[in-house]
Amino acid sequence: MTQNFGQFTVISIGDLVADLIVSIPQLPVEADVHQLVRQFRLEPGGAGNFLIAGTRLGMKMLAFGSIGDDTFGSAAMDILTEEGVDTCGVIVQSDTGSTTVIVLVDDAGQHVFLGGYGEGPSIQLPKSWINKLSESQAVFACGYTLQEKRLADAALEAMALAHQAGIPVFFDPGPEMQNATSEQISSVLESSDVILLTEEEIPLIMGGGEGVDGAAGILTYGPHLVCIKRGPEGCVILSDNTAIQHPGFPVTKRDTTAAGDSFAAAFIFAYLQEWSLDKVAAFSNAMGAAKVRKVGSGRQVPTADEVRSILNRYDVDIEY
Amino acid sequence: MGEIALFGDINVDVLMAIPRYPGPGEDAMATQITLQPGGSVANTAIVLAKLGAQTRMISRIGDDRWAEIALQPLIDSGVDVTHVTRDPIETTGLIFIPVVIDGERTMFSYRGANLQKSVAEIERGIFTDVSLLHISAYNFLVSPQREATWRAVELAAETGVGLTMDVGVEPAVHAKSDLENILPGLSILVIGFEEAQLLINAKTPQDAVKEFLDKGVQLVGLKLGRDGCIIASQSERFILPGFEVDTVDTTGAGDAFCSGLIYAMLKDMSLSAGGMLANTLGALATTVWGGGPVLPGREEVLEFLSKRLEEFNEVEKKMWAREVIEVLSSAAV
Repeated sequence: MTQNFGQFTVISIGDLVADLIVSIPQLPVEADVHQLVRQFRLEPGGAGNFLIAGTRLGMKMLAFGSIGDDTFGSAAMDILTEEGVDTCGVIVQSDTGSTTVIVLVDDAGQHVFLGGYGEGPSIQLPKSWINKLSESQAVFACGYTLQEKRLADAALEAMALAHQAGIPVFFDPGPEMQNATSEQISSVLESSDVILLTEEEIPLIMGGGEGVDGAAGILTYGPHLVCIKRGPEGCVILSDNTAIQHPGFPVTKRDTTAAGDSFAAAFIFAYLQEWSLDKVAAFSNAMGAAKVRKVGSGRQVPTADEVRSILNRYDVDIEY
Repeated sequence: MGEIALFGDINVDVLMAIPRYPGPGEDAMATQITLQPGGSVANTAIVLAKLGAQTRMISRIGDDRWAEIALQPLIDSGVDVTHVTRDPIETTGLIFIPVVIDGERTMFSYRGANLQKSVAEIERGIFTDVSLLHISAYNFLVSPQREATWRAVELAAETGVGLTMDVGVEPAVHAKSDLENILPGLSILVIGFEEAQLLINAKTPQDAVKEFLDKGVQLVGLKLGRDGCIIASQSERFILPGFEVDTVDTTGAGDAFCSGLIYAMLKDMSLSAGGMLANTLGALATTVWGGGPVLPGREEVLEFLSKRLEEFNEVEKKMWAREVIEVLSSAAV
């Protein structure tokens, strides 16, 4: 077993979120009803899951993005720093708020999200980001990043710069891609090397195309790999000349939160190791399985050993 | 010199303005998320300090960034926070309050470090130079805060310190036996009619007041919302209608009302003047957004009652208002 600590530097752009996870006896939320909270936890959400998962696999993870000078955003960044994520690319805008999501979870496992995007003046692509980009081995962004009004343009510019410099760019559209403009989608497709998405998200980026055929269509716009995430059924990876499928690991599903973010970190880790696509798919699925069998997000994303234990249990021989 | 010690929660209120309440699986994007200092007893402490009373807070907060938001307004108002301790693990109390556009609100309370105040922290020295101890009935809901509160109540009784209590809905349901045990020893009970019904099955406000007095409470302040309040002792009873004001937000109104009755007892004011002070504070608290440091104090009460003095038709009301003005004017701040 070898640990490649610090070998790869991976940059995540945007989607810096403070998740406030609030456990209450019952939903729905009703007027004038006072409920005592059973548990409260603050976790870095969104890209925070990706960044922590990547750090745990031994990669050097850098966060680019923007938060406000509020307590929730700062607390989430402090946790990322404690977890070993480099947050020097995080721009703190005074007198603005951070993207904050309050997740109300009831005893029956139902949840609602109360949230707000952080808003502030538009960010010009900082020189420090350009310098850091040149030192990185991979760049990751997602559809939520494009919904951060102050950040979207700088994020797309950074992705384009990385792509031009030959640094692989990974993009996960997520459900929020439905709110992206056609210009943003074109820019993403031009700049991305790898698209990671669910089947439901294929039409959002392909303007109507569905299934494996729709996903294959993405390859004609620039990306050279498309990975379709199929939850318990594993994933399919498409390139110009191959399509490989890995069925996933049959673990007990407890909580799917942050599974996609963790999957993306594992995919990039495996990709950078230059493993075969079969191995990339198996490893990413193992991370996804390791996540869904445990509850939580942020600091609850799987450790390298938890991924390893899935691989061992199913006799998959991947050493890292 | 502490005239009053207050034992209860210090919180940070997280107010979220949302367009509507979402159903399970749905989301609601907040147009604004703001943090404000909160906690019912902390609010009462701030108002008492702003009235000029020597005020001492007994509580527990986290060792985190929310602690400063919660604590600073108390310090700025002049509240003695020597007995507010820090919990190394638990978070400062956070109350999540989604507010929809039409002003309806709901609350999710994470009481965090507040609940960790333990018996070991309640020592006799807390009651030096104190004549009243104020507690929240919420203190009886969870251990070890519950046991710590009982210890404080015992020490107060041993040292001749009077006891005052504010009751909310949850304790009226879930801490009934504690509350029944504590009623006979109360100098002041502040309670809403809804809570009173839950606690003692009273049919009318007058029945509730009578029953509490029969149980041994010396002074009952029964809150009737917009209809004002009933203030009653064993020998006197006043029904006081609320003041007409431009209401912005009702946060902290009950806490401010409570401060009025406590202050009146500390200063030996008449029952009626105490009721007028409590009603004034309650009304003024609704004219500002939020609780904590924006709640009214001595200056706001003096200005309000001085302006209203000539508008009172009843001679009694003029007398009560004059008494409040006189006491507040002569009190050293």
